[in-house]
Amino acid sequence: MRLNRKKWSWKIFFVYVVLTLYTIYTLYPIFLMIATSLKGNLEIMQNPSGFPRAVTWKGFETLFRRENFGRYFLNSIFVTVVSSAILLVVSVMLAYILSRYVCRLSNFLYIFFLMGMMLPLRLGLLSLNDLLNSLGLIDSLWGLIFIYVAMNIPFTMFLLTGYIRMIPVEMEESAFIDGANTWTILRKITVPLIKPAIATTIVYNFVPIWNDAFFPLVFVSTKSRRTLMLAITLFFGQFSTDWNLVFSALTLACLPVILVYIFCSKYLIRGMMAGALKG
Amino acid sequence: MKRSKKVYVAFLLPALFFYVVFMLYPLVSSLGLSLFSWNGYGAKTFVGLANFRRLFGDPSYSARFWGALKNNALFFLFTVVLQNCIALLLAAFLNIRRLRGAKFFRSVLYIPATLSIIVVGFLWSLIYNPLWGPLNHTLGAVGLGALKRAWLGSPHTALLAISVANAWQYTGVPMIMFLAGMQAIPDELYEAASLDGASGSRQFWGITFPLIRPVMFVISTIVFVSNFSAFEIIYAMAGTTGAPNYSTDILGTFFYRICFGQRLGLQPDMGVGAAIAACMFLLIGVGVFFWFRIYGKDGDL
Amino acid sequence: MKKQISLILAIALLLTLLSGCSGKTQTAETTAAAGTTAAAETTAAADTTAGTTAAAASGEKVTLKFTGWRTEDQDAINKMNEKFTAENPNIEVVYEPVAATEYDTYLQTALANGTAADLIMMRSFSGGKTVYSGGKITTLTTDSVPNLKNYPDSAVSAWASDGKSFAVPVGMTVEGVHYNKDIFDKCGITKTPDTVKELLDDCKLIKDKGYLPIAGGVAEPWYVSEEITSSILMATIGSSQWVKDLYAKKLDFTDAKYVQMLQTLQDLEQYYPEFYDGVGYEDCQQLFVTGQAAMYMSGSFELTYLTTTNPDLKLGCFAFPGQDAAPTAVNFTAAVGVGGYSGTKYPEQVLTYLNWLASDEGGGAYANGVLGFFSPNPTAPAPESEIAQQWSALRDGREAIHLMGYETMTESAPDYSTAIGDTALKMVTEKWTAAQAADYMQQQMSWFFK
Repeated sequence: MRLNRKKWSWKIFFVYVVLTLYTIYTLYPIFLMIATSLKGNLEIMQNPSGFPRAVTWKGFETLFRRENFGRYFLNSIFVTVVSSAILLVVSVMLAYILSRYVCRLSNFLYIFFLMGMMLPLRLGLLSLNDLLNSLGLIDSLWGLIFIYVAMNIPFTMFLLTGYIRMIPVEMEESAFIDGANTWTILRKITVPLIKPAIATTIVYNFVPIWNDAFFPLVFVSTKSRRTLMLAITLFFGQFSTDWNLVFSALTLACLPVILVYIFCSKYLIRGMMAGALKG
Repeated sequence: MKRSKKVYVAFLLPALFFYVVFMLYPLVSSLGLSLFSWNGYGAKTFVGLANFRRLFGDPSYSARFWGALKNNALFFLFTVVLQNCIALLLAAFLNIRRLRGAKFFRSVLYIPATLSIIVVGFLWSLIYNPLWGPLNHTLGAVGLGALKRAWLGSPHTALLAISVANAWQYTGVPMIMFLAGMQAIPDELYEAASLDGASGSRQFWGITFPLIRPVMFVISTIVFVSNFSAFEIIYAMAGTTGAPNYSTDILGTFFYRICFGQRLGLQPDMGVGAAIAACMFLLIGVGVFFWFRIYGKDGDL
Repeated sequence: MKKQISLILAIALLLTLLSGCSGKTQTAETTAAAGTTAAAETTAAADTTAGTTAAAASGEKVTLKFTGWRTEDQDAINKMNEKFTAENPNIEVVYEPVAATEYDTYLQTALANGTAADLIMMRSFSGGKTVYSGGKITTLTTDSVPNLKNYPDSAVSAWASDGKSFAVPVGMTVEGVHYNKDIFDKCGITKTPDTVKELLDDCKLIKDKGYLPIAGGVAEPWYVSEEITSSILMATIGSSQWVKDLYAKKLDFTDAKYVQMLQTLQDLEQYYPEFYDGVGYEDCQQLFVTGQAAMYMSGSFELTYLTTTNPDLKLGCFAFPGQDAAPTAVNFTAAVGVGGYSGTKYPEQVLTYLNWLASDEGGGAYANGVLGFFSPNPTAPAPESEIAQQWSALRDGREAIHLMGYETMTESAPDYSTAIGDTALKMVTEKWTAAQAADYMQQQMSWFFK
């Protein structure tokens, strides 16, 4: 039963209009950021909204001359990738047992893990400081990694349990009867079925970890261990009124993630869409 | 299906370890500070419930507390409308089978969610800047000059302005989640409805909407929790003073301001700060509890 | 998805191995050529990880890290440090600031976990006392820092807690009005105003000629408190007796002089840019430094920023006018003090540097290099910059009263600074009279008078 594709529909036209307008609204601030990074300071004040009339690369030049961004970039990659990997493995395991082993303990643990989301993270700052200090993790990227993993477990677990519960147990039962152990079931059956959730959590966790500049500020003091976002915020804190420079720094901060995202988005979103069960 | 306890423990321990050691322990022990008086540097003195008494009894503090709570509620309301409802609408549109370029829209609309909050705060602060921000500039250019104002400077518009920026950043997230939920709905249901002559919107309200309730539950829980514990976006756009006139003061900024003090001003008071955090925790916990009860009754958790 | 996870884990493993190597020592690190800074970083880090307490007394080269919140002065301070190193060739000092908004949190955690810099910029009065109470800041005495004797008691006590010094008083700033000489000339104003009426007349004249009279705004509470209302208040009260009476609770914020200050603020606001309720500190800076505004109320500390951002700007300054006659008081701030971290590996070198800062030469070097920060040491040479000297001269023949909201009124919420910022904005949004605003201020600060 196919609809006649050639038939014009006002509804569809309306939908396109809305989507296009919203897309423009979504992209405009990003365009603004890039455009501003290419305008001279005077032009920013006179012509804030439009394309740059006279393009200047001064901001970017200054950025690259003064800082060693290559190193910071690697640090960020390291921290983000390792944190995401550990987080994923640990959370999938947790979410699995909480969804499949239904008992009072599981219910309690579910709430127990959610509790973390309800407290402002910065509350624990000084305590965390003492903890990392006594563990010898101050000024270490591993300190950051452990914090990021811990911070994101609640939400990741929450999301994953929701998805796993949508999958009927029967799918796993036959494999179980055949003698497969839980770990194999998890790997071969469950995980492939919850691809959308996993893709969602990867993106949802990766981004804030990459973008965080607060924990690196307080827990990492050696300059060469800084993360990219931290370096950029420190940098533009220094030149807060040189708008051209600031926006160059901001653009630089965003581009890696946006580029990675655009590159992966097809795959990721397809993964997210690859939907659960059809029929 | 028989499950082994060993597996349970083995699968639980890694997550439990990280979570308890690096998150729960620091947070909970900091909550304990609410029973002490401490400036963050010197000695701690035990004061029992005095901090809570001060928080609710001293008008300077209690006015701020209830004001912040009110602002959180407003912020939540704005977010639900500006972010979630729009996300639902966009997802519904993108779910239309005939729609070409859906993939393009999907990818693009998610981009703001990949930005750092600091960047978003900065960007939108520029957009709202009354002197040389594009918003006022454009309003003037199209003849709507009467609408020009200090968006972040006026207590009537500041919180809404920040909510718009926040929604701009995160609408893509619930949108994708809604869409994922919608696409899990089997086509047969829609085909059957079409055969019965149901229109597009009728199909939406009759089939799609009810079947994505689990997703709506997840999203609303996340939004509730993250809005009531929000801090970063307000911090990036208005600082911790709650300026203008405490209209952007939410529990998160109130907590931070009291706990860590302010530059060149208020001295840090970690005891009262922790008390505020404890209240936040209770509030959110109670809220989530009731929410689960209401939603849970419909079976889908 | 399994493939993806495997890929991620593989990359993670690889990177772990890579970073595992470089995580231990910094010597293999290749930072981009940044001259001495990079080399110094390597040396310091190698010292740290080698775990040796550096040979303090012997002639080994040592790099001291210096942290602070003045990001605008980074280049100027590092240049000044070169003078120090010229005389003390074995000690290098590198100033690396942290943005003012994060500085306090950063300092708190750094002191607690032992990664604090060797030299620490300290705020005066309650700001510094709080930090000092953690016990991680070295107490300074005239034995360890002999040049402390150069300072008058009033300066030393601004950075002391119960008689114990925690920082060397390095920089005081004066608050007043920057003005653009070109615009004044074009408007035919030949004499800076002495009274508020003259100021308002000048503003009107400037506005009629098509220029923006004052770059001002009430969006940021600290700016309102420390740069705008502070100057107006001191000029209005004329002597520190009023402040003493206030602190002694003999009068309060509903006093006629305070109302008058608010009234003057209101009178000036018509000469602010449009939508000044949303105009913040940096916007004002921008307006003035780009030559769009004739006047800018701020402090002498702006000079480094103003002169380096727009060297063509012809700067002038005047003390904020008195109500009926020329002003007899100006606002000043004990802005920057420098203290030592008690856990430093190089305590002797730290004291050497602090002693140098406190000397005539050091004080002069700071004042000369970091424009607008004057040394409280009366025998330190004056800065060479003419405009800096003019700012310093604003104190001549007048009483310099310290900025309000530092010494006291910070113990409870709202503190003075927040309260006046809140009041000023409310005066605009609620369209209050000055008297109503003063009542609100009093109500906000009522905790102080209990």
